[in-house]
Amino acid sequence: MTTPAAKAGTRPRETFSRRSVFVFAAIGSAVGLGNIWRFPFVAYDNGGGAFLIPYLVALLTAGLPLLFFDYAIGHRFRGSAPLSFRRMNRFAEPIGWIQVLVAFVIAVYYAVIIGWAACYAWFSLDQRWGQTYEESATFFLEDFLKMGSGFGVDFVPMIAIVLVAVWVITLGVLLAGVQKGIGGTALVFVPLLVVLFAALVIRSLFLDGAMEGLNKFFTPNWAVLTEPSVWIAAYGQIFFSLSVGFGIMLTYSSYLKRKTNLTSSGLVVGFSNSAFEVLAGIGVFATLGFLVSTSAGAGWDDVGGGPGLAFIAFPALISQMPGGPIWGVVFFICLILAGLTSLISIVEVVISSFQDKIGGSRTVATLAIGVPMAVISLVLMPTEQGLQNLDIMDKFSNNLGIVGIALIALCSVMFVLRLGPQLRDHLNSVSSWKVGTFWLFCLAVLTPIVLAYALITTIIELINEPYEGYDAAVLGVWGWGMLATVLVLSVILSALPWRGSRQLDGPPSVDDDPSDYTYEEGLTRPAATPAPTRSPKEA
Amino acid sequence: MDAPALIMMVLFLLVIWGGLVASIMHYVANPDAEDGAPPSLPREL
Repeated sequence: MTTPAAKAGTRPRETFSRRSVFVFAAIGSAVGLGNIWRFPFVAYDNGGGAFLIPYLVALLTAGLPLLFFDYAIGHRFRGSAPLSFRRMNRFAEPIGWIQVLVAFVIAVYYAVIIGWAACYAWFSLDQRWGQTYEESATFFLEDFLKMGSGFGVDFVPMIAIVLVAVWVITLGVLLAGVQKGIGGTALVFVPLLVVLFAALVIRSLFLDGAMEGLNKFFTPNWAVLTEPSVWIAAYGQIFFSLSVGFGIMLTYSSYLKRKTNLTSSGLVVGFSNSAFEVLAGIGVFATLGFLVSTSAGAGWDDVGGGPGLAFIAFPALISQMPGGPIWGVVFFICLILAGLTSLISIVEVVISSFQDKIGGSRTVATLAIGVPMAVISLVLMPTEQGLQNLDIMDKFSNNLGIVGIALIALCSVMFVLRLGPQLRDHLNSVSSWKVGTFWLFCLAVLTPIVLAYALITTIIELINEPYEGYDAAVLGVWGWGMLATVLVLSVILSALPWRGSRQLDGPPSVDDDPSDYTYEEGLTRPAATPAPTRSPKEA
Repeated sequence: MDAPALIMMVLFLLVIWGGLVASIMHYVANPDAEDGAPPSLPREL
């Protein structure tokens, strides 16, 4: 039998062949650069070993609930972010587009970091950054990035060439499709990343000074647990680390078959992400302990998280450690693997949305949207102003964009559309780990409060003081201007008609997965979309 | 390593990696319905 969607000419929605492929893809998305260079220093700055408590609380009360929330929306409404929110309510579509456009902005700058890592994997062989921490910093900022400020498009050819390669690989994977491209890449990259990173961590434990580094990392400071900022930091880390709130997990879960055990998969993804972070914390601080103990000239006050850790501190310690070139290559390959799987998921949010909107093939959507995205990335990022642009766009898109749209999505779904119970019923209809009142409380009360606090604090901070001392004009364009553009475009895109004859109101009663013929039975759902009663043979 | 740091490292690993092991066991024990096995006893978050 032909399904209504297929009869009307809409293409069948792609699916992951097995939920294990989805789990690997979701882990690949969640485990990114932030796990390696953000978590260790967030934990170190917020209580060390004592950070376990707020971190665990944040994981259980915000991370996993938000993950399940994204899964429930994508899986129930069977579409990309704009289509899923459109199916909830006509006026909710801009929420989906804001998520897509924030993902667009993040993809534009995230790609260049993978390009830097590729360059540094090559540099590891001759360690051209020098021997000391200071030489390494000078090399990164002046010789490699040729860092400047203000406006301009003075290209750094080497970074531009590598960035082209990053985009070719990313779009190539996405052209191959959900199962072959995204799934196949994750099945290879994620295990490889874990093996290489585990080897790196084990090696780091045998370096001189490693135990001193672990002492620094894990010594608990219980007094800080009374400070609200520590708890906000824990929620922020979990939130940013899990790739929730801006369409990635929502999009991936829309590719799952109807009867997939959602929460069981989510638990594995959530704990895998955290397990990798803890591993990264051990590896990073063990190696930093070694760095501080050498003659590289770095003290504990010099090192910090972010790109400086990967492209200044690590190169300096690679120059100092036995077998440095090999371990340098391993480290930067880990960054490339972690970054690529995340970048693929971020770009997929955009590709999937436009594919749904224009009703075209994956190839058309990937080329029509992916290529312009790559061109924008190539114009803005491999330039002398690239680091400045990246820094501003990262701050505004994450701390305002993702936090803001997650808050709006939660409030809209839970309070305006009142779909919380329906999503709970959906999760419970397919999952072995049931969610209930506590899950609804986390989404309706706890997480919005934390997100609102973080958002308001950031806005006040950014208004009172120019971020990192950048020029007001530069902040106005790449920060506030970028956000304003996202908002305007989200409204314009929502106003454009959907091509094709797909169902736009309510969750689709059937799709092209033949296993779903009894799926809707007994599920809370709007009366306008009656449950299908096809027999297995009809499907 | 100092004792407090060592204890917290072990706790961190036990809780997070233990959580991962438990979630994988739950995942394996509860295949999708179409895989043929009925879901086990439900739990609630």
